Amino acid sequence: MLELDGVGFGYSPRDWVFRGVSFRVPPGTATAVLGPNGSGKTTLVRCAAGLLDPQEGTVRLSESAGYVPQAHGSAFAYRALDMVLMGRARHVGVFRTPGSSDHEAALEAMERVGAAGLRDRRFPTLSGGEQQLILIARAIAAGSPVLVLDEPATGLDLKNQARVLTLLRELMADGMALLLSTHHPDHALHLADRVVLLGRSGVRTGSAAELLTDAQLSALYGVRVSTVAYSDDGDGFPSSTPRRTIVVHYGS
Amino acid sequence: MLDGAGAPRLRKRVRPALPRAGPASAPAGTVDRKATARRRETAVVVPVALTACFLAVVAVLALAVGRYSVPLDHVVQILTAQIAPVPVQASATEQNVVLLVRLPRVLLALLVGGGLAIGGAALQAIFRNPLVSPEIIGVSAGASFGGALALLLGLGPFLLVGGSFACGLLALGTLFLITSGRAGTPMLKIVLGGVVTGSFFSALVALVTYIADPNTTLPAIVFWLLGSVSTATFTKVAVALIPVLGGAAVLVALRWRINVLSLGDEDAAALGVRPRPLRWVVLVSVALIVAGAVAVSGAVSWVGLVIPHLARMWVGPDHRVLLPVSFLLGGAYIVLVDTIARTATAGEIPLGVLTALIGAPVFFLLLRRNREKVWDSA
Amino acid sequence: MTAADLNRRTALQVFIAGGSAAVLAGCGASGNAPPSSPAGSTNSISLTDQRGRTLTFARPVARVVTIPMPSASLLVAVDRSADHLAAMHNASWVAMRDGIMGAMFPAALDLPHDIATQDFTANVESIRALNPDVVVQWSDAQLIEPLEKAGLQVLGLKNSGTQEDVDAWVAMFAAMLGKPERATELKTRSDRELAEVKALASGRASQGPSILYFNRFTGGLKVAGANSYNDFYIKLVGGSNPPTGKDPLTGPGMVGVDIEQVLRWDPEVILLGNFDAAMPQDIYSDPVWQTVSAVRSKRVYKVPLGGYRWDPPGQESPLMWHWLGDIAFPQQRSLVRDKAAEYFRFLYNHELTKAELDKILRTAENGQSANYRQFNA
Repeated sequence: MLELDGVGFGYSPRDWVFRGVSFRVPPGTATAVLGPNGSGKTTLVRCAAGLLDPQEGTVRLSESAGYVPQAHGSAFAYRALDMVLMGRARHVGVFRTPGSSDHEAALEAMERVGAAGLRDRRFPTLSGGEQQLILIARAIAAGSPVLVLDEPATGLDLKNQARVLTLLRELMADGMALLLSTHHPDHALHLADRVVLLGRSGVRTGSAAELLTDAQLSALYGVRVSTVAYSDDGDGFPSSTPRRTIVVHYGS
Repeated sequence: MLDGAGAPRLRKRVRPALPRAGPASAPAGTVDRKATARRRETAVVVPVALTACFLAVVAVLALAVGRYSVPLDHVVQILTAQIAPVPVQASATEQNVVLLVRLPRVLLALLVGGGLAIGGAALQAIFRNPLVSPEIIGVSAGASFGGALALLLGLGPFLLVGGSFACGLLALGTLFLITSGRAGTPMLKIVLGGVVTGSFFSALVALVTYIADPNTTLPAIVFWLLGSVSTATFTKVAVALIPVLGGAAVLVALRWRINVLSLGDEDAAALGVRPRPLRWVVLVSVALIVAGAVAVSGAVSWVGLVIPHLARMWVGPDHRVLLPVSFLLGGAYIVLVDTIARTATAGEIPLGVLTALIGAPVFFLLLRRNREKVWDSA
Repeated sequence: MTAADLNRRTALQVFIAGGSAAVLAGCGASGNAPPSSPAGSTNSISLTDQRGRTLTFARPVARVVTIPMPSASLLVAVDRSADHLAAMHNASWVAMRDGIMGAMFPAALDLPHDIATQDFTANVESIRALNPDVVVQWSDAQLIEPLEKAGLQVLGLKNSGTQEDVDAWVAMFAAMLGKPERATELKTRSDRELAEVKALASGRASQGPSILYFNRFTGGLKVAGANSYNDFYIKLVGGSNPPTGKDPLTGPGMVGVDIEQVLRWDPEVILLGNFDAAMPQDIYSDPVWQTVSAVRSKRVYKVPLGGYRWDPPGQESPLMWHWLGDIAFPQQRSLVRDKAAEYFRFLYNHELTKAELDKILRTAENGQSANYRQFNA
């Protein structure tokens, strides 16, 4: 369980990135953070993951969250398995190295994300999608029931986006609590129960159905956005609401 | 030790979700996982054991050759006589040569080479930069200044070692002060601080050589600054032993934490490792090693840059393997180069000159041929 | 860092500092031109220095600034006084203060000695202010040019570590001081001593011991190789110099060696030079050296130090030859003490006391060594 209560963060006392953010992410649900560039999505996500200390408010975590950073290069060409193993850092003593139980947890996490076959590949040689899977596996290996992801699908092609989203849905189904920032409102529509909108006029939190409307999204991004329903062609996930996606009305 | 308090709980939740999406990989059972874990451990032990054997061979070889020829069977005799009561036919001079001349020299070369190499490997990890070597944090320059000052004042061997040691730590303290402000990224501050500290102490070294009497002290200072283990004694070995082995032991103990730290501050913090204190523990350990090494051997350059690269090319970047292998390989390298330095000609070639002569071109070749393999981007 | 520029600078310095380093083997000949007394003018003095430059002085020089280290004490020896010395290099001054020179010529200690850096770069302005008649400097264009640009007369010296250089320096100093006969006097005397030492050597039936001279002992061993002055005098007295023997070193001058090489040579006599503070006791107490012949027979000696170091060539070199002859072939009672007293009278017009002689011959430091009693009063 992850809970934020009146969280505010600013780099100087009068210059708030956001204030008064409150929401809960119960087990088995996902919360998406949406907002235009520079609205503080990453900052909020990092506060939630405990990497930044907010100036006000509290972040409550039943345990430390598993954190998945934006896909990045690594200075060293570690093997994929070694990368995932590092997720076990909290469980390994300062002067120790991971033992067999850590290896098991890491391998299980790799299997869980469907990347077990990559374990001996060097991380930098993996595709962007594969790297993202490894980073997610690393967060899973940490053993926390809460996952915080910073733009997990950014920079991925459509197939890999689908792969990551599918994985995240599965993790939710397993009972994990997810918090993710994203540039894609359609991802939020697909995945999230609740959304946090970081707009210029303030922060809004609410259910996806309530906030992911044409008017809210158009106001948030400053461009005309429509949500349209489409037929569920059986992606394997029962959905109570009709599936919707986003259409952006580009100027001519 | 802590076998993952959260893991079993997660597993329970995760299990029912099979079958899984994504590109299907071979379903792996627990047996396979155990095997993989074992394989990873072998991957650590084998290279370390191989390098240790290589070092042992090089060391015995170095004990067996020299300008004063001692037959190999006498060398073996002399060495075994130290641990077991065997009759020794070797002459007193032969025993002196092996035990009092070559043995301390080989041990000192081993400590200096091993220490500088493992220090370089650790620094490259925490700075996430392939061009970092122990010189970059300014401790070498500080220790050089301390030693040069002791030579200038004619303070004798004990204060030479003490002086370089103290000034090496002084340089580290200066670095700490420079970087203690809140502004700026920690990595950049340390590099800048290292450059500033290094330049300052280099200037002090230049000042010492400027003041030194060209007839008496200056040649001694220049010789010392060039880097050499030719004046090795067991006293010097003992002096180097504590900081070098102590620092190296801390680095080896932290080998896996250094992996985590090498991912960058944010990743490390996200994974539950506090980067700042860990980085300072690594820096202090490296400073100890460098100060100890410079104190007994002057400035032996390029080892801390070339050896970690070479080792990484062989065993990969995992510091669980890389750190011990770097130490052993660095030790073997300097023992080997020093053996060449003292046997190639009747005269003595300064060790620091040889390491630079070999190191610079080798480093260039390594970078050209293998950069992509080891570094994601550099 | 500083290593690069250090090396460039020290390449010059080490060769000079070595004293007897014979890097420029054979160059001595070019600087050996004897002072020519011009037949035309009666008063003016003309001489050619070791760069081949001809200097002319209207009258004997009265104010000399010396920058190369041995030149200050040599000038005093040629002049038998410090009256014409105007300033000197700090290293020369320190040597005078710490050695016997300061006692013999106390006035010299009051002279300015901050006129050049340790790498011999002259402080042109402070030298100009002293208004000297001539500046003695090493024959390096870089070192000399600034002085000449300031309108100073510069006498260039070369150092190849040979007796010929010292003879040439003596000749030039004597000429410019207007005492050419003093050069002849010194040369005649030195030649006479040389002949005497040679005669003694050839008169001996037995082969001399192998003698190893350490230019540096602490912080890396350095010994005298081919073309060094030390090699010359070791052979002069009938000894053999291992670095130029059957297991020779490559390279001339002072060469760094590994101790194993020394153990292989196993010298019978070891000389410790005056360029560091190593003493016989240091070797005697070191276990590594115990099996070396010279240590077993306690024949390790610190080289004496008079008006200048006795290991490189200098005005007191004849005394070094005699001393080394007696080290190689010990006497009941050495004549070096009496010779030194007499020679100091000749060189410096100074009467040595017993304590001064003990200090020069280092009777305390060498007290433990074999046969050193021959040098006691």
